[in-house]
Amino acid sequence: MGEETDSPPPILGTWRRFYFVVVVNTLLVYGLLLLFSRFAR
Amino acid sequence: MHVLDIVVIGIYFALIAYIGYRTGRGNRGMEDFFLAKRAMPWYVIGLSVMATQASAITLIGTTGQAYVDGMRFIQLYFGLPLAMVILCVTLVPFFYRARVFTAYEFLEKRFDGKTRSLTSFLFLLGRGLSDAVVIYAPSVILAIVFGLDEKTLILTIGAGATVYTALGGMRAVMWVEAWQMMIIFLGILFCLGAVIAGLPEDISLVEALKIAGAAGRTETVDFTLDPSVTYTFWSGVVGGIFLMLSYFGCDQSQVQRYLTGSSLTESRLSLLFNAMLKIPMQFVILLTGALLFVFYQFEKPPPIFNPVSLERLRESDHRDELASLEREYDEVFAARKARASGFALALSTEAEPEARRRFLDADARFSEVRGRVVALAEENEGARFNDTNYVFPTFVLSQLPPGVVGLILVAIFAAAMSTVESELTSLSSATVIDFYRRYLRREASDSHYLAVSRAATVAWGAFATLCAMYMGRLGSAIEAVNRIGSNFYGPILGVFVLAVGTKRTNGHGAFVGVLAGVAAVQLASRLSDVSFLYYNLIGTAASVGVGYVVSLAFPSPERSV
Repeated sequence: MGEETDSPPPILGTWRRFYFVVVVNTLLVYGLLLLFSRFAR
Repeated sequence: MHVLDIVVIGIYFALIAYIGYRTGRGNRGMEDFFLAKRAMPWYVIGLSVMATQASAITLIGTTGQAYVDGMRFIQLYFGLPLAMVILCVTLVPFFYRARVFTAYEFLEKRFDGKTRSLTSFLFLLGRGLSDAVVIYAPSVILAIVFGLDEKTLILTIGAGATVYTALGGMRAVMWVEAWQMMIIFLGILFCLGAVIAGLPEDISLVEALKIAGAAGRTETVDFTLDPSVTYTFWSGVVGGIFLMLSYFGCDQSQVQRYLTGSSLTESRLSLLFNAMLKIPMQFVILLTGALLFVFYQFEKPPPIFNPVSLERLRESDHRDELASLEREYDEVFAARKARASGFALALSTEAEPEARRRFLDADARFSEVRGRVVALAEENEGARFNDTNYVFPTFVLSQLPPGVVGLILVAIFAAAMSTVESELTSLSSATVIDFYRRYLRREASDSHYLAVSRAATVAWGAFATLCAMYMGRLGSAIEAVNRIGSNFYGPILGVFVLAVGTKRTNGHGAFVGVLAGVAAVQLASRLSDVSFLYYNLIGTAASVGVGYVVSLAFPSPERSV
């Protein structure tokens, strides 16, 4: 219990790739919100 | 209250009692009680972290905020995903490897006892009273709108959360919170569906969004550079990163959750889960509020949403003035309704600009008349009047069918109780680990510490519930302390930055750094009009700068972490 295993999620292979996906997803969310803001103006 | 609603609420309380009982057995020591045996999976931690943040006011107040001011509030969360990534790379592995119970315990391993005690004390000071606000705020609103007894609501939320937190410990709390978060998700989606279903048949969702947008309710990204504007893209990203780093990195209510991970991977995944879901969740809540604004273009809203204040106004010496204003209010509402319909019909035609202008004129007139009613209410109450938090509960009570009202109430209860539980576990862990075990009883049996931990939980729960009971009288004092408390996070983050980012900083420097950070935030809040979102950045910078420079005057530390 509580062991210090630090295996990255199997789907992406490394933590660095996982973080990259989170950051890209965040930028995408900003973009979608900007589009929403402009569309519904 | 309808019998169906009572049944739904009864099922909710039976469900959380059952989950709490099933998952909370077998606590033998503090690691079981405060850290759930360090055996929790990432999805439970992630949902628990989200439930901790989602207080009842998030649900009630955020929808009202979008109704009144639009969706710009979402920018507050823009820094959150990036802060989660930074924490996963930096602080989380340090906390995890240090095998600590509290975030502040780590500071003693790195610096000294006084730095740990100071930061833990600031946490207790900041959080101790906020629990009372978390219980009181939704209770008073639900009591007024639904005609329930305020004291009974306070006792239900406060005592209910205290009992199963004290009995079940962290494992029970986190499993209950995971379920509560799913109930909150369900409640949010039901609310959005209900508002969309409540729009007139001839108004499509796209037309509704255009109406909300024309009135400035769908502004979600604002690139204004002025630092005094509260919610902008820049304050959200820059200030938001520091706000979220402070909250998730230094607040025991958050740190304690990801310390329960069965591995470092589980702890990291729980934060990244939050990084992906938080903005979309806030978007849905705010969208509900923006569409509520459209709903009330076609359905006449009360002149003020607080029914008790309205009733008091009707019975006061101002009643004739109110009656005259209400006649005017009916006229401006009818005019705005007609122009909103006209605007929807004119969309994508040559007449759109003119129809938009006419609608905005009518909306401005409506707002002006409502503003006069609010001013009258303010005069009658003799205090500042704000009914933002009453918008959503009023809609729920007046428009939704029995059973669904119960479900939304359950979501509000779940949001309130999940935050209270988290506060209680974090307050009791900081009290017992950072003070009782540190200064009073360094060596004792597991059963002794378990008993003390339960007693601390009950004591904090009783304190919060009692403060909530008397909040009507103590309100402004508690709010003032609460506001000051929220200014401590930036300076505390600064100490953690010094702890993991520098080798030269020592305990004396870190201690003075925290105090300098607190002073810098106080100065910024009093002497400038900079948005509060930048306070954590200011506090962190002052704490890091002063802490490092003061450290140079003392010998280099011997690190044990």
